[in-house]
Amino acid sequence: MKILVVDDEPFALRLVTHQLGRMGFSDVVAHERATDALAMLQSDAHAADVILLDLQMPEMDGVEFVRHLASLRFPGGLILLSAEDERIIETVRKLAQAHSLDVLGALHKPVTSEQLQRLLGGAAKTPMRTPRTEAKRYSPVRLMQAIAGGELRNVYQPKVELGTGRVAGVETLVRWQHPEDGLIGPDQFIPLAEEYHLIDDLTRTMLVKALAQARAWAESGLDLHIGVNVSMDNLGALDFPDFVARALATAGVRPEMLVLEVTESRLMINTLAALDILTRLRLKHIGLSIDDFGTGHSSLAQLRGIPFDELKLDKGFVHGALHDAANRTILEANLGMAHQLGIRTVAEGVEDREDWDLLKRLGCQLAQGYFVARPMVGADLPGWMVEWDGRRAELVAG
Amino acid sequence: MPFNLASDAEGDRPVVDVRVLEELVGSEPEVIADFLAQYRASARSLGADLRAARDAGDLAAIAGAAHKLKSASRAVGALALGDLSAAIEQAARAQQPEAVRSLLPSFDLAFASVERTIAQHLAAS
Repeated sequence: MKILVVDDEPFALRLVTHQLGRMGFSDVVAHERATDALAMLQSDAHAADVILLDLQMPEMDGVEFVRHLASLRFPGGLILLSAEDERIIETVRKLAQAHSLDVLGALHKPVTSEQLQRLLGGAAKTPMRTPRTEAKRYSPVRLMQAIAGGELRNVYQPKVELGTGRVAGVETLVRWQHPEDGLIGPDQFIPLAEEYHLIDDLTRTMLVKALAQARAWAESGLDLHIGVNVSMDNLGALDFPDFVARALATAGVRPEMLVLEVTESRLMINTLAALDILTRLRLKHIGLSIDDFGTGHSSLAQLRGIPFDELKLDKGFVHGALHDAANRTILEANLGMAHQLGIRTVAEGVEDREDWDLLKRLGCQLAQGYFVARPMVGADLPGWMVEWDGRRAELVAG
Repeated sequence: MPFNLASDAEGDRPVVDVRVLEELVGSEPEVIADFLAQYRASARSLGADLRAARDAGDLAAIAGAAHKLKSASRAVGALALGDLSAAIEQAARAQQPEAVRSLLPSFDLAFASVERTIAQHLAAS
């Protein structure tokens, strides 16, 4: 792995280079001047697989460097280093991600070899990301055929109670089983569906399948809430509440068991139609959840007027929050306010034991994420539950 | 007594807690000595930058030098000097020249003890 270190302070530069050498990374290039590093990358964007970048440099700061990397479409991984406040590192991290750079992590200086190993170990396992331009883009017509032809399939990710370990429900996620290209993730077709107004059809198809699955689970004795993502387009269609009510009746599922998850960033609560529809759904006793909370601009106080009963904390604030004071503060504030408003809380992105223990300690009610389970097809859920039963006692006791 | 137990004015903390550096680069004596010498060179140059910036009344330059000295000092375990550098950086960023000036005597003192401690270590090794 080729590693480029950029830090204008010679001591810091030597220190990190030495640490990398001790860890067995021999192909390390160190630059004191950001402009030299950029010149190297300009002549060959593949000159480095991973860049370790200090944010505080007088002639060109980290933000500017990140912008240059983005314009070069740097395909490798980026690790941000700084002795700055954690919030500043976090802001730059989000900025770099917004520029579609592959940010492996952000570390506070001085960094330990273990921290570097953890981030670089991950980078070594995943091959260099293919640049976005090469990602296959499907035509809206092809996607329409896929929706109509049943090529989209649902997978389900469990939500479990942090206090008791009980499996409370699942979130429905969608995959495209493409006959030639194999399994395609939602990132590659949901934006397309939204752009071409196919999302309403897609959601309705998913919803009907999800309810049939919920019914099948109920018949085998599993009483699970079922979450389905809805978009602003769905909420713009005035017949949506009636459609949902009919689908529930057809499947024979109680409305209380359905939770519609609305992404916060797309939630334009000032549109009267959306508020109208949300209220009608709620009046039908269908659960409403705010998804990806914290990524948009609304605060819980602003959302108080909407009858939500579940709040999902975005994974960006959850995973690794133990080591990130800013994210921990955000979590605590949101959990506190949600409790005051009587809203159920779900943490997304619970990826390891540390995340689990922290969220449990902070009083969050439900957890979802790879630490609990990856999304799975409906038929696999009962088997997973048996396995989960073996793990849960220890997790709850801690 | 290991050199890193030479304590600062407050009594408890070592002036340079070499265990911090050992955590980062390992405990080989030659490597430690090499890094301490490197750090001393960096710190001297940053200290000179900081004093020059003070004389010029340039708060941004003071903050820049203090920032770098903060992170380098913390990496070698010169924790008191690291904390003082952090306090100076913060005061300079907050545009408080009075606060910066009041911190400088302690800074100079801490800087001198770090110099002395490293010199002792390098002489011993």
